[in-house]
Amino acid sequence: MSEADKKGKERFLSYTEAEKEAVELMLKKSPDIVLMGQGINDENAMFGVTDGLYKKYGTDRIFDTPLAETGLTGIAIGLAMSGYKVLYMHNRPDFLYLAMDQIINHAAKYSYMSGGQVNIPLVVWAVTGQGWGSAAQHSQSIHGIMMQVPGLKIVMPTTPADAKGLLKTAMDDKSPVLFLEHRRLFGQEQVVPEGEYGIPFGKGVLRREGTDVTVIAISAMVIDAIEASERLQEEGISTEVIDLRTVKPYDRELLITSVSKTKRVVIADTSWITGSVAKEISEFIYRELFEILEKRIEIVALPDVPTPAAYVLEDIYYQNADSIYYAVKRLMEDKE
Amino acid sequence: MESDKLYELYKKMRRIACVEDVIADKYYEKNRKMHTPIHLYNGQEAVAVGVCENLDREDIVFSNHRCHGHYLAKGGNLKKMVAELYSKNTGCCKGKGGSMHLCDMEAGVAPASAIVAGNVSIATGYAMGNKLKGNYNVSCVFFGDGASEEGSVYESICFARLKKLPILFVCENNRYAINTPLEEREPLNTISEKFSNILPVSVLDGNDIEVVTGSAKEAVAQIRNGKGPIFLEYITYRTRAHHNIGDGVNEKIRTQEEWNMWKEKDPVELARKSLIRHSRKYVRLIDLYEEELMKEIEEAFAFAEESPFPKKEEMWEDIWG
Repeated sequence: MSEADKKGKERFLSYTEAEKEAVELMLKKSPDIVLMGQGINDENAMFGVTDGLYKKYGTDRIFDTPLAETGLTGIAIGLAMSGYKVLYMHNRPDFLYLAMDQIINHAAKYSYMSGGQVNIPLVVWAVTGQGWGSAAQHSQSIHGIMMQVPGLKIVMPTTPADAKGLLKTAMDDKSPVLFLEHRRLFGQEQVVPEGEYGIPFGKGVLRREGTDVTVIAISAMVIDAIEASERLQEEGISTEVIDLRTVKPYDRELLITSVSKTKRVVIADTSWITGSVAKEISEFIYRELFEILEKRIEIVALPDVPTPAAYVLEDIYYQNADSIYYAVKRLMEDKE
Repeated sequence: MESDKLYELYKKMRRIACVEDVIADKYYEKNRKMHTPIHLYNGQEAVAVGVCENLDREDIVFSNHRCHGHYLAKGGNLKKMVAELYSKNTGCCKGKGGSMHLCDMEAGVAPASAIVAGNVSIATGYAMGNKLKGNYNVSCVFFGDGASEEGSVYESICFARLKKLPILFVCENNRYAINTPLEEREPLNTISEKFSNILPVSVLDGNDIEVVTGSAKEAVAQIRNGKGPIFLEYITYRTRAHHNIGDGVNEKIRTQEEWNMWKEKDPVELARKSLIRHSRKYVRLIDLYEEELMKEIEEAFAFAEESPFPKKEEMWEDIWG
């Protein structure tokens, strides 16, 4: 549990309820917040995050958009440059590929290219899908692709309390932030502290302490890592689970502390293996702690194919608690 | 137009033309100092000057890779511009932008984008910010006929119209996208026709400073009055190559005849002739200005020469990632 989790009273909120609370607290306090997105004011209301907000705060500040993701991302950047804090919401990150020019060529570079003359306080929010037969264009985790871009921060909260705190930090940031969520996380309910609080970027959190293996997990894989670690505990294997929370920047200090203790590492990512965040982190660990590693690092990530629709193929494609369980077992083989 | 007003506009155009000429003269000097790709504005000066003449400091201008003229016309600092071309840390972008990304927010010049249509939507968003704040400031974006082919221009124009945003779209139709002529890229003769059912459009002579200033004045007044976006297309011609210091004339690109015809219509030269027709006094005034201008430009280049380069650690500044 993070600090934010511990501080709370006994008040359970779902992931999207916690985010709605974060957004509403900011809207109440500051007239400079703008929310936009295709379907933001419809009955789905971004999975409930923006439910009814436009009735209180008006459609000038909370507005539905045409699809036009390239143009509208540019418009979001212009709004941000003019002094607004902008939250541009997308039901699915797959459509952000249409906005790559504006995110990568403009939002991420304008502060630097102008010698610091402009800031782009823009949060691009999107939810990765993992539905039943959603297939290749409604299921993508794009953080690996976007991680290469200097000037772009990437946040991937796992718990409701973290989603609330990280969304506030993202909105207060002067630079563009990609805020990526996962459909599988929306089922959770958790004690969420009341009032406004921020969680700093670049700070991961231990979801479980252990001594044999460190599982570094991203987003929905944290849930699987905890499930796997519970099974492993019954077999006498002690697993430490790190929830990375932000993948750029990521918490190098926490990784070094944990891996220095366990000397065995599994990295679990929600995206494809080649060129992934998992690979980036494994390179970091090899570089910093090569001498002390007992075994080579195990990576649990998606195979390099588009998401198949057929559920029999999805079962092979998606990684889960089992994948993490067996990865840990492989690392522990010589110990048994 | 009163001749003294025309003289003021002439001076602004001549200043841009002269800065570009000096850049071209020095670009390949021994011990080359300017290590940045240049896209000179010669031939199109009337558009930048005539439009910006109607804008206030609080209004903002968005430009593209060919940004020197817009930057100067809107009041961007000349010394900082030349220092930027010289890779110096006194440059307007501290040496991190170069020729294609000039920016001077104090003068209302946003960072220029070399992804040619990139700023069209950003300018639209900025206009939305102005409207939300309830001020009367105008956002103005300059882009070429080539940029108008990007889908985000259509997206932005539709959205600007939907929300009645205070934005002036200025299309500088110089008929070439790098070296590809308009007729090989477009089904229609003008760019405006693509957008004429969405917002008010006009096609105008972009080489006549009086036409540009007058049409932009009317458009800006309407936009400030909350009438929504306007699209002005100025037909013009760059007398330089797309990139670098040449004239862009060769058998593969465009003919000498075509170039000569447009050179006759050079906006700075047209204004000069018009002034002298008004009164002989301008012969002397123009000569006097020439001296003043050369002095200003020399000082700007000296400032650039004398300025320090960015320190190594500055590479890590101005980024928040």
